Amino acid sequence: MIEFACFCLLLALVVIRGPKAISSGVARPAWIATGVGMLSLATYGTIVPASALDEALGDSNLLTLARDLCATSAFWFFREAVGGYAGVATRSKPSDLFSMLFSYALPFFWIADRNHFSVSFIENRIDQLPVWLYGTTYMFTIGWLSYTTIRLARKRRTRTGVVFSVGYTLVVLSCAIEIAYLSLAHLDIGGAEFRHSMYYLSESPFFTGILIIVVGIAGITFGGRIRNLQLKHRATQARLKRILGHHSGEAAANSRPSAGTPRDRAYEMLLAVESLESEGHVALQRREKAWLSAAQRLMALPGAPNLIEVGALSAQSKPETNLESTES
Amino acid sequence: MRYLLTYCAYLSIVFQLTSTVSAADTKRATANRTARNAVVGPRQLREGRDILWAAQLLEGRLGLTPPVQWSDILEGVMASYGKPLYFVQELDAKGSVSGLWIDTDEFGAVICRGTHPACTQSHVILHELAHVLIDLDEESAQNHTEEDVESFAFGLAHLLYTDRPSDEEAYFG
Repeated sequence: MIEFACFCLLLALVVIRGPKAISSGVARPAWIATGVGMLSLATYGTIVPASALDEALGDSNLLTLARDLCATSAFWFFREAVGGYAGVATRSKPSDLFSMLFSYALPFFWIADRNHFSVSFIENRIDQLPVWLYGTTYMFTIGWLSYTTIRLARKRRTRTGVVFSVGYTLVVLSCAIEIAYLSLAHLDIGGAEFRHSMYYLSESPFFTGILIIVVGIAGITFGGRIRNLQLKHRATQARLKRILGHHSGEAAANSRPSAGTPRDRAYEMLLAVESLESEGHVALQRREKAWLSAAQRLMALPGAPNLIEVGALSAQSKPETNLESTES
Repeated sequence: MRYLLTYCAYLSIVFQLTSTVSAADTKRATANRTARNAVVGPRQLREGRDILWAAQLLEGRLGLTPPVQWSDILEGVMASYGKPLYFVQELDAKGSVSGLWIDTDEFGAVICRGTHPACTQSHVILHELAHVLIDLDEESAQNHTEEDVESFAFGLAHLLYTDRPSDEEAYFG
């Protein structure tokens, strides 16, 4: 269930962030990470049964390796994204990723009797040294990538950095649990019952961590999209239009140009209402005054130039100068 | 500073006087324009009057990068203008004029009515800055309409309102 939730969120992120990833280089690593991570989760049989996928790969449990290769790539690309976000060059090269992948892909091919897909592929063969080597190297790789990502995320003390750190901490914890489990099971400590009952022990913290990270990314993605809708400015514009319509007639309210963004239109409406009020021809109702005040707060532009007050000054000597003026 | 205050007092009187005369009666001195670089030329004025178009043109011409601050716009305008600009609020203004730009050999002054709400005041300043930019070019100065100037004022406001996406959004959004 948790795998499915992560998969759906990642799928949505891949689709929504696609256009931006094409146009922006800095957005690409995180997008690749979500895409490859989604592929990794797809191997759990979220859409197509895992057995069917493995059968397509030769029915030799290559699906397990494919899942792990995708997961490692996702973690590596996401670390690149977090490094960029933190303003730290990770100094990692694609060859580093290939070294990581190769480090556990090699022992995978040493595993004897890989034929016929099984969800308990590792559990059933953990007594084999290549299986232990494969499993622990993979988990160490994920744990190492997660640990270094936490260190990068902590350089930027933001809410996003904290969310990622929490998620990755759970992943590191799950990696430690999994390595301990694989080692104990390989040495046959605890017997078959321990091996069977503890097989999924690390899954909960692992996928909870992944879910936290994915929700963190989704929050940024969807939050930005919602902000771009400028809903507050749309509502403000509608209220100001009502004020104009009430005092100057519908024709005046609708005659305002509609070019630009909702924020531009709200700004135009605000100027129109301020002009209406400052001319003194209309008395705004209490509710309309509240709307106007709220609009003025929303549309305030901090940092306007300091104005020199001259109203209190008396006329003094006129300097000789060449004058040109425009008035509005 | 003393000179500036004295001059501002003088501008205040000019502002009061010009409140009662029409724009057509305002004498224009043209000697100051010739040595400046055009920011908004007559060709651009003919091309369109859309806010987004104006914003894009000004962003490029003034070398602005979002998020644009007031200080960026003021620096850009003053760099094109080639002289300092002072901003004055007239508290006792009467009449229909809400803003005024006065160009002298040494500096320029933008005067706005201090009794106006802050947003209107800001817009009046932007409007006068648009005048400064358009009037840098002799031909466009003669051909521009108040509608052109308003488009550029709204274009400047658009730049001030445009947010740059946060780093989070740039990397993960």
